[in-house]
Amino acid sequence: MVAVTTGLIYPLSEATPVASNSVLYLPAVLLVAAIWGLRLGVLTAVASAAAFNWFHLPPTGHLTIASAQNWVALVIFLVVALLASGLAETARLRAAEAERRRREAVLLAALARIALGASSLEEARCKMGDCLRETLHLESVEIEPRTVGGNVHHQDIPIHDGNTSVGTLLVPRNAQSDAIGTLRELAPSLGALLSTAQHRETLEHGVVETEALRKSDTVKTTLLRAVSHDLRSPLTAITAAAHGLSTASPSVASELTAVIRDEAARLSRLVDDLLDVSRLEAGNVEPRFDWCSSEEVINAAVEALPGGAEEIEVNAGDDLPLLNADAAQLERALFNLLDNARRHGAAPITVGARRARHSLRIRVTDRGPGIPAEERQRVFEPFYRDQHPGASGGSGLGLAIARGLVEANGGRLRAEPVPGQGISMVIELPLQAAPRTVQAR
Amino acid sequence: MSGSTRILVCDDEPQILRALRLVLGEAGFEVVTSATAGAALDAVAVRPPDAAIVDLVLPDGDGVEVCRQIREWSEMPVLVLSAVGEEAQKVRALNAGADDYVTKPFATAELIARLRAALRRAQAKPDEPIVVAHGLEIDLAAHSVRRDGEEVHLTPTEFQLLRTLARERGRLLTHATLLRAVWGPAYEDDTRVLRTHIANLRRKLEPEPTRPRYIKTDPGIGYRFSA
Repeated sequence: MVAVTTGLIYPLSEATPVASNSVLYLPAVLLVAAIWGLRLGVLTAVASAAAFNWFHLPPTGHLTIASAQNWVALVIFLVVALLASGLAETARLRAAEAERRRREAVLLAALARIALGASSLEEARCKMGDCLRETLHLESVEIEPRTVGGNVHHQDIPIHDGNTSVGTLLVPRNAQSDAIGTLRELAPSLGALLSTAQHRETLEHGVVETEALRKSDTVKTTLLRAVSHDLRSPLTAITAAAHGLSTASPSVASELTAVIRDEAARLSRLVDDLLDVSRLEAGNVEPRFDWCSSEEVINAAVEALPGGAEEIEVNAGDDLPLLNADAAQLERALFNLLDNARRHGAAPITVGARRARHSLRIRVTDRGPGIPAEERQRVFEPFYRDQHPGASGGSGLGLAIARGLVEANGGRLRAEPVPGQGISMVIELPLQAAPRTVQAR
Repeated sequence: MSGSTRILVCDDEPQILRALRLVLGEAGFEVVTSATAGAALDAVAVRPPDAAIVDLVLPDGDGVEVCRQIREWSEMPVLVLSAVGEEAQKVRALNAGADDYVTKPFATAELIARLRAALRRAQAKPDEPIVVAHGLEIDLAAHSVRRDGEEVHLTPTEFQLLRTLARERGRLLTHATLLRAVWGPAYEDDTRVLRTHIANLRRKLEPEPTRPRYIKTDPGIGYRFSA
């Protein structure tokens, strides 16, 4: 740069006074200082002074100066050149700082978008880490939800929101120092963003919980209303029959006893159903998972039906895979489906199990009037009642309990129309890979 | 015989004690009642009854514990009373030595039938050589099984399983009890192997395997050989 300037000045030296030619070195000094910084700027200034002295100030070709006037010119030039390079350096630093701030602002905006758009805090942390890793060209950036220390490979940068810790950034120890500097500078904003995301998640959970509470409250109100009515009718019959017993003739007495027995059984069934519903509502049904055979569950449910079950046709193959479920709960679910089919459907009632690709389907089918499409979901609600005249007797909880128990065991229960006439209740249970068993002796 | 048969009933509900005292008394049993686990164990120690009926939930403890303590020194039949959905508790009580369970609310006829069956088992000679049930003949000594006079071939494990069930005819045996008796304590949790052998036994013995007559299932609890 100095050489080029010196070359440029030569032709001019004929026309202009020697001292003013020194000004021509200044652009070079400014340029160097603006691009490469103060140190090179100063070096250029000194080199320019030397070159000016050597080539232009008489006696040329020597570093000595003949006239005192030219000494002054040289010193002034040097001072101006040094000042100029200082100014250029400041401008360069400001520009670099502005650029860095701009990048940080863009990065922060991207992080804010992630924090506000993510569906969970976990997802926000994950995506924010990815964003930082890509933007800062790091090998890895992890955002840990807790305060953790660094280790051999990772260094830790704590993230705070105010005085509370909201997590820790983990970056590789061999990362570039300016990337780490940026992360340290971003940490407080990151803290604020993470804590906002956290607040939002808490609020959302609150909303979901409130909704669940409201729903369960509605169910409880319905339950109480229905229960007080349903409990009263068998109680009335029992009270009336019991009072009649002491004065009744032997034949009437035996009939009254039958009334008491039947109504007490109804009452007992209702209380059991209510207990089941409240357990299911409270999420208190913990299945005792064990290997069980669908065939046995079906047989036990059929046998438990009161008054024999001759009209029920069982089609369970004996080569069906074992289920990992709570046998007693499945039996109760199936019993409710069969009982429901007997109450509301019509013969023939069939129950069968079949293997699907990854599941086992147990199907209870009756040839009754079926369930209209728009009611097929609602029948599983507690206290849903068949509006058909003559339909009778249940607690209105059987199907709700069946679905709750099946779902607690990881399965699904749905109603499917049967071509022609009737309805199928289908229990679908996932099949799991069986563990290796001992060799049978 | 039942005139002198003493039954201890332990339940914390006075109404249930009252009803059972009446019903069992009517059936010819002598009834002793207690309202707590402690009182029941005292009564048993002072004058051992012929059988005990114990509620699973007692104010001062667990019916299961009562079963275990009685079993420590006595083989008397013990029936437990439980509610619907308490399978885990029933299994614990049966594994602790209870003979059978009855679910509340129960029909008294069923309770008395179960009680009589348990008393009969307790009085029976320890090893009948031959068990006969509805056309099925099991010769425990000769290791042979006949159905309607025809020899049925069983593997040694199948026979051992059938023998374990048939020896305690009518008694509900839990999965763990059967596995321990046939395969050994190490296999106590391996219900899969038990299922497979029960299914095989039914295929060979039952006229209608989908409606078993000889080997009955109590889902989630165990099996019993039909009385």
